[in-house]
Amino acid sequence: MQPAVKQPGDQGAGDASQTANSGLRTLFLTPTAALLLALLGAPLAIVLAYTFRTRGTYGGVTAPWTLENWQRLADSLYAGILFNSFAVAAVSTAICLLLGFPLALFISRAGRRRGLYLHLVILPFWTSFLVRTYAWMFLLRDTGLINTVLFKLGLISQPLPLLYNYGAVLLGLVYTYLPFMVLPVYATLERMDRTLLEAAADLGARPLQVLWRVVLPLSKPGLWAGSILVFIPCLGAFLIPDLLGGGKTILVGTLVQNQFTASRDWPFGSALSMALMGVVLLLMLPLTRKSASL
Amino acid sequence: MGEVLELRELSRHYPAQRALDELSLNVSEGEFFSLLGPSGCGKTTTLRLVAGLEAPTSGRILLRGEAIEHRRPHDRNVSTVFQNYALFPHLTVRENIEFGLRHRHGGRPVDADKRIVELVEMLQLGDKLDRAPEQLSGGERQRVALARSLVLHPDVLLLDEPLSALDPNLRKQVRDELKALQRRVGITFLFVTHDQEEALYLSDRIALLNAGRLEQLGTPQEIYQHPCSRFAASFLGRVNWLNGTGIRPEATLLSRDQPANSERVYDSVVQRCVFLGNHLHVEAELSGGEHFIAELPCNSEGFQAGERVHVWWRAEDELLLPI
Repeated sequence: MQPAVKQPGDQGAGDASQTANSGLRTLFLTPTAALLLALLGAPLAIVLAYTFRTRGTYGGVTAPWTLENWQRLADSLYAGILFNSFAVAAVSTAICLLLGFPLALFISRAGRRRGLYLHLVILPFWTSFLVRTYAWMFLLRDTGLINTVLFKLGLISQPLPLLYNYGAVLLGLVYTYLPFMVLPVYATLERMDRTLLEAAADLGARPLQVLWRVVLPLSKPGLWAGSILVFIPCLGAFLIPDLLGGGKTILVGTLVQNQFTASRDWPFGSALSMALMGVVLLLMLPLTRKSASL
Repeated sequence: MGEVLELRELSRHYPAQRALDELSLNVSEGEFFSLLGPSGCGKTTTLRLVAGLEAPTSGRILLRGEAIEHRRPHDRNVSTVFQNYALFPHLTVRENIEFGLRHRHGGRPVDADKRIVELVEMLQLGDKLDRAPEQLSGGERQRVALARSLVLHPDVLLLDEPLSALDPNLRKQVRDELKALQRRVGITFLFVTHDQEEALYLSDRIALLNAGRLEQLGTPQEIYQHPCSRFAASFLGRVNWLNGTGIRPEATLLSRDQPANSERVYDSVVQRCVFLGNHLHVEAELSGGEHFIAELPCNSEGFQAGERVHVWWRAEDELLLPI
């Protein structure tokens, strides 16, 4: 027999087990795949179709088919809002990075208390997101807790403008999404080989240099993952800008929401959200690839 | 030769364990000094105390006469080759080797480039400089770890079982290279190992540790031939024991006829006889039930299992243990 010819027996056995495997895989994956397709794919297709329709008087969509909604996106007004949204999301992500990395580092080195601190980080999730955002309004508004206390203490005579501005929106976003930064960064720090830090110190690096030259570069996967997890929801956020930003800070999330509610312009709202999704996907494609390879 | 490292009654106690208990020893300039012992004997703890990665409970560490036990790791002119080599995965081989040069006192040494070129040539890393550590073989990683430490010209190079991560075939070859390297660079090596053969082969002197305490200190020959305890005798090679007297297998002799002029002759029965290439391995049971192993020259005639023989040895070959 030629050496190049494969053993028929081996091949058969491999085929059989492979077939059994793929059969099992199909069996287990089918429900999930079907559910995803139905609940994610179908609405997405509907939204995409809506972008080419005309608005109905009382919401909804009617004939005829049109490209007008996409053309309206070119308006500089919307470009500005999109830019603002990116800026707010980017700043929120940056603040989450600056706060989240030291926090994750602290927790990863907290010894037996790590579990406790991790629980504290995710504790806010136990309450409704909406309730927590209203709690911030209660704290920040002119007659809120902070202004009242400062006023009673005689530190201020006029209430500080804490609510209904970009600052309040950033605060709300950072507060809400910080755990999404802390957890993946913590996970990479936790996995890190401690002897690398010892080796760096042994080679003469001071603690800050160890942090800068070893810990930070090796945390990259977690920092990327955390940034993606914070940036995307911040970009599409509508509740926080709406409640904490008031009407003044129009971000793309709020704009989309308005199209479907107050403005009753579903086709344009659909076009806006599809455009946002497209931009995010384009931006994130290289990043997700990067974080996967690291 | 002057002393480069001195440990004085160095101790490291944990709540439940004395990892190291009052260890005192001196290491001379240019010496290949081994800390040998079973796991948990305190050898790695000693190394970490010298490196500054752990703090001693009590005792002193003198490096060139200067107390360093309170200094931070980055402030001690010693360097460690870690057991897993601990190469920085995000840096290339070259960047790994240059890592420490930036941080030394007074900045990068003027002869840094020359040092790198020399070491890279000596350790044959020339074509690997732009690789990532994960692209290297075990032996290459070890050489990078050595280069990374040696480029700093440490007063003492600390090696934590650097051969244990290598596969057995490579280990012997790397062992030879390591010894040659130490001779060539002339830097003092403090070498931790649990492998007695490695320690015997490489060391100028050995400190044998047991349960956190110094068991015996001496040259390989001294410890092998004049062990101070049963532990020391057994840890450095096999010993046959009879009524508290120890005889090394290679000093144990077998004969069919009654040997003349020896008082140490015992009737025995051969249990096993195996040819191992460089010697003949014979196991025999003495009439008192003791199990003896003899390593005979490989050209000796073989024995049959069940055969009656005389096990004997010369009085001067007995290991004399202080009582």
